[in-house]
Amino acid sequence: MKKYKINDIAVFDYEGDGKTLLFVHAFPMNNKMWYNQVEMFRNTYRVITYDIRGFGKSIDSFKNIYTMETFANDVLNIILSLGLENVNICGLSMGGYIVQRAVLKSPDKFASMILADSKSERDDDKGLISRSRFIDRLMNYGIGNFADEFMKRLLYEKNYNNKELYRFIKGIINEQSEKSLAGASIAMATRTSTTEQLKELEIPVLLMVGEQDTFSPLPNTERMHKIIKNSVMRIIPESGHLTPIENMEIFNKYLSEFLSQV
Amino acid sequence: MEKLKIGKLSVNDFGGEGKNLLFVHAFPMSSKMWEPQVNYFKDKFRVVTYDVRGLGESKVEDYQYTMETFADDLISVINGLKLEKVNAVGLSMGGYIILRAIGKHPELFSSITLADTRAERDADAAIITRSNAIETIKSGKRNEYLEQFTKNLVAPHNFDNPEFRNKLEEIISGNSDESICAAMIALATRTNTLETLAAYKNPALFIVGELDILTPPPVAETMHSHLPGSKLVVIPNAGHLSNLESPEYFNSTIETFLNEIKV
Repeated sequence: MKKYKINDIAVFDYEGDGKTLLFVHAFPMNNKMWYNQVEMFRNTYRVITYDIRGFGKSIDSFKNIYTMETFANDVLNIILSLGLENVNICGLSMGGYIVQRAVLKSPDKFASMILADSKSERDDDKGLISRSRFIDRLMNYGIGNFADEFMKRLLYEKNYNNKELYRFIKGIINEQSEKSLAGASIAMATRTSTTEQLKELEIPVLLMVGEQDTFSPLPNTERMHKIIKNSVMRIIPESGHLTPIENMEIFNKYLSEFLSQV
Repeated sequence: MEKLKIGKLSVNDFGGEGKNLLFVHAFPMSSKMWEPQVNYFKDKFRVVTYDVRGLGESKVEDYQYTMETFADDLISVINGLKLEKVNAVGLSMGGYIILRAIGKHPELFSSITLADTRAERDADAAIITRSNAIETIKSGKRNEYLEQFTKNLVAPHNFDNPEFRNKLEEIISGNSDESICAAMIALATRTNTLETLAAYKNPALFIVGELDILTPPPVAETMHSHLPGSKLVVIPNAGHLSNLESPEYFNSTIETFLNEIKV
């Protein structure tokens, strides 16, 4: 595995033979959340993961001041810097927001798009205000104050009670700083709606969603499935929002099936 | 004038007899932009100005600001000075802040004057423009961005007036690249406030520069039409920064309004 720093961004290139498969992680995680996918696909694909600006090892050099557009530009910059072509790109939740915007800005760079537990709508007014409340809480009380409660909402109950899985996720969450999570929350609040542009997208798209996802529930994915011409929708059973971790067998199976047909 | 800190906010209390008159400034300025208003009103009202979080002397170096924080800050200034109720005047971003604050605590506002502002949130295209502006500033081209921004900010004759430009530059120069970008992002996190405005019960005045291209007269007209009983005044020959471009007209408009409503 090779590591690169590309304009603040820590990139992990597993150098496998085959088509490029780039993973974009969720909030408030980092590249490590894709551990099970990296292990599954690293020999048959050129798997690449990275830490979103501010997360993990990607320390931002401009005080964590950024928008969703910055995040999308970072993806395109990785692709440009590594000279990648025909990228299969997979994003979960916030990662999905970033992926959509990057793909819609430069569709010619991508062979396919995989969105898990994401949505195409921007934040509504209520969503914006609750993000502000969240940031206040984060800055005043720290990650420890919300991590458990957040995970309870994030995960399917059975998985929340799985100690090994819980520790794995919490360990990753604890690697982020409060400031970086505040910055990313604000970036999510600045995202635009991608609904109209998705209608014009031509590349194959796989949409996955956890059956018990309460953050980006099924109807959000159904709406995207309806408007994206070339899309397949898969529901992941026994999973909340973090499908690639909560039900990695099924997630990987659907992903593998889809990629083999691209 | 007494300068004080409320939390991290730098507040200027000009004292003065009479009702409270609180000014909320525009992006990317500071409380200094209200100089012509302070001078005019300080003997007639208790005039208060403050620097919005991150700007002017209100240094807050986490740079994680949202419109919600800005509105909470305004409320903390009113409560911090124990003003009970204020006549609030906000221009552009200052207007957004007041619009959100009246949604949270309408009882704190005896009247509102909203100049060169709007009640709609950013459209997608506006957010992308802001993001691009941040990239420009980050890449060290702050002056290039400000030049372009100022061109939209003020009427052509003021843009071409070196004295006016120097005054503007003096106000803006106190703000770091980081604070300008963080405030710009906060603008993009604002909510729609048209319904809040429609539910507002106390007197309201809308002011807009005739030549304002950032929030042109029809935008003020929309707010005005949502709030029966409100007043709308268009200031001739002024752009978006109507308080600095036509201070006499701006001041007398507010004075007339405040006198009429017998605050």
